[in-house]
Amino acid sequence: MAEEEIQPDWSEIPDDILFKIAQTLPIYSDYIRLRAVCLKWRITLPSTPLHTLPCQLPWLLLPPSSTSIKALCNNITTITNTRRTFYNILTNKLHTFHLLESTYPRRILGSSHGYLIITSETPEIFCFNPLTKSKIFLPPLSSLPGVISFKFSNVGREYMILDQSNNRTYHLDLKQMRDEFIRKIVLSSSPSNNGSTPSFAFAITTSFLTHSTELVFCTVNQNNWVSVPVSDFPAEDVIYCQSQKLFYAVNHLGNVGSFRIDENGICDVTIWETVNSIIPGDMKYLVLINEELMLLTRHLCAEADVITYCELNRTVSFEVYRFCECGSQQVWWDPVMDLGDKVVFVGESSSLALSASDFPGCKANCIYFTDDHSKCNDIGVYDLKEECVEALPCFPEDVSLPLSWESPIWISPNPR
Amino acid sequence: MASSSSSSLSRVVVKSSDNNLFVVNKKVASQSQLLKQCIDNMEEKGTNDVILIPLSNVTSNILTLVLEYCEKHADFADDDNNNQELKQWDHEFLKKFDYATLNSLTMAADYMVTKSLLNLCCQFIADSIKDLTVQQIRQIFDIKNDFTPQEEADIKNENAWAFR
Repeated sequence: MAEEEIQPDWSEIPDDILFKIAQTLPIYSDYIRLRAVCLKWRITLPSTPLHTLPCQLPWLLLPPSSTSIKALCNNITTITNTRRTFYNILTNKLHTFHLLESTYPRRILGSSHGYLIITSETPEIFCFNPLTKSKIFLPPLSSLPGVISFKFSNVGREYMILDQSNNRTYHLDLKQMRDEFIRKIVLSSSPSNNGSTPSFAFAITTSFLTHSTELVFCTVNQNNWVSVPVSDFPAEDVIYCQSQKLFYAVNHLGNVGSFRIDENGICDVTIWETVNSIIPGDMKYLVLINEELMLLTRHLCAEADVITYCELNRTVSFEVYRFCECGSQQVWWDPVMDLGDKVVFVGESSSLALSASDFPGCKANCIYFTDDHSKCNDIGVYDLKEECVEALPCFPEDVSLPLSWESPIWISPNPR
Repeated sequence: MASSSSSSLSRVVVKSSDNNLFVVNKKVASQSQLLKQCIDNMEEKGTNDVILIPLSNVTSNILTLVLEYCEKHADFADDDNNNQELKQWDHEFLKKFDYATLNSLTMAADYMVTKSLLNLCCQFIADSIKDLTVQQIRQIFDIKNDFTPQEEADIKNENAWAFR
C-alpha cells in the first residue's frame, strides 16, 4: 500500500500558515512582494497587513522640483504637477507618487507615524498618508489657543493672534499662518487608528512678534486645540513615548517636560530642570532609543555662499546625551559617545531611532539629518565615530533646489 | 518492550501515512500537542496497553524529522526557552532541508500541533524570502506565476516602489 509521494505545492499551503509566515515579515515591502507571488496568496493576504509592523526605514520626501514651483508661483501654468518623489536611502532609488493633497499652495509641515502633516491657505490642517491616501483632519488652525479671531474677509490680516508672553495682539495672513506659526507637530499614533485609545497631536507654536513658543495639543477628530498648562518653557522639540504614554518636550536650556494627556483632554505636566551647567549646540532634539529618552544637540556653522551672497548655516556636528533622573525632578544629561547599532533620523519629522542591522546598507552610529532651520538644504549624515558629515547620495552639492520652499522630510512608510 | 508501571504510559507507537511504526517515548511525544492529547485521553481511561496513534497526513520521512526535533527539545524541556545551544541546533536543523521538505515539515508541525517547530519553520521561511524579488520567491518555492500579464502589471503599478 505504498502511497505515491506527492510533491507539496507551496501555493496551496493552508491560510493560517501563510498568515503566520506573513506576520513574521517586519518589512512592509517584503509583505507586498509576498502578495504578488500568486493568485491564491494575493486573495488570502489582505492588502493592509493584519499584524502591526514595526517602524519602517524612513524615505526622504524631496521638495517639488524647482521648475514646477516657479511656474506655479508665477501662475504661468494651469497644469498642477502633483508628482512627489521619495528617495530610498537603501536602494538609492526614487519612488514617485501622485500626491494631489500636498501640492502648492499646500505646505508640508512635518511627518509622524507615516503621515504628512499639511497646512494650506485656509484654516484646515490635516494628516495624509501617501501610501493609503488616508486623510484625517486635525482641528482647524483658527481654533488654536493663541488665535483670537479669524475672518477670510480681513484680507491680508485674516488671523488675529494674542502673544501670551507680552499680552499684545498682532495679525497674520493666510500664508504666514500656513508657513510660520506651527514649528513642529508630533502624533501619538497613526491617526487612522480607530482602536480604543484616541490619537493625540502635540505641537509647538511660535509667536511672530517675539518668537516665544507655546505648547498646544488636540485629540484627533476633536474640534479644538487646547493650550498646555505650562509657562515660560520655550520648547525646541517634542517626542512621544509609546510605552509610557507621555509626550516629552525639551527647551533651549535642556529642561524637559513630560505631558500625559488623558481622554478627557486634560494634560498633566511634570518638569525636570537640568543640572548640566551648559549644553552646547544650536538646536535640540529628543529621540527615544531603546525606550530611553535621549537629547541630540546640533551644531551649526555659518558660511557665505559665493554664488548667492547668502549666509548659509551648515551642520558640523551632533552630540548625544542620555536622560538621567537625579534628585527630585532634576535631570542630568549624560554624554553618550556611541549609539552602537542605532541610526537616528531628525528634521521636521518626528525624530526616529532604528537598528541599522535591520536595514542592511543603513549606517550604524549615525544621525541622518534634514534642514529644519534655515532652508539652505543643510542635509546629510553625521558619523559619530568619525565625527564627520557625509552627503546623502541623492543630494549632490550642485543640485539646484529651491531654497525658500519645503525642505526634504523623512517619512516612515506606514500601511495603516 | 513497553514497561507498564501502574496506569502511566511510558511509550507510544506512532504510525506514519506509509504504514511505518515508530516507538516514541512519552516525554518526546509530549512535544506534540496532538500526541500528548492522545496519551492523556488514554491515561484517563486507565489503559495500560501500548497505544497506537495513526498519523494519516505524515510520511515516515517527515515523521522522522519531526521526531528528531521533538527528541532534541524533550532533552531541553526543563531548561528555559532561551537556551543558546538549542537555538543554534534549531537553526542548523532547518538549514539542511530543501523547500519541498520544509513545506511537508511545516504542514506536519501544524497537523501534529508542535507549536515551536511550526514557529521555527515560519520564521525560517520568512527570513529566507526577505529582500527577494517576486520572481526569486516563485523560484525557491517552485510556484507558477498564475497572474495574467495585465494583472501582474496592475499589481506592480499599485505599489511600484516595492518592486525592483
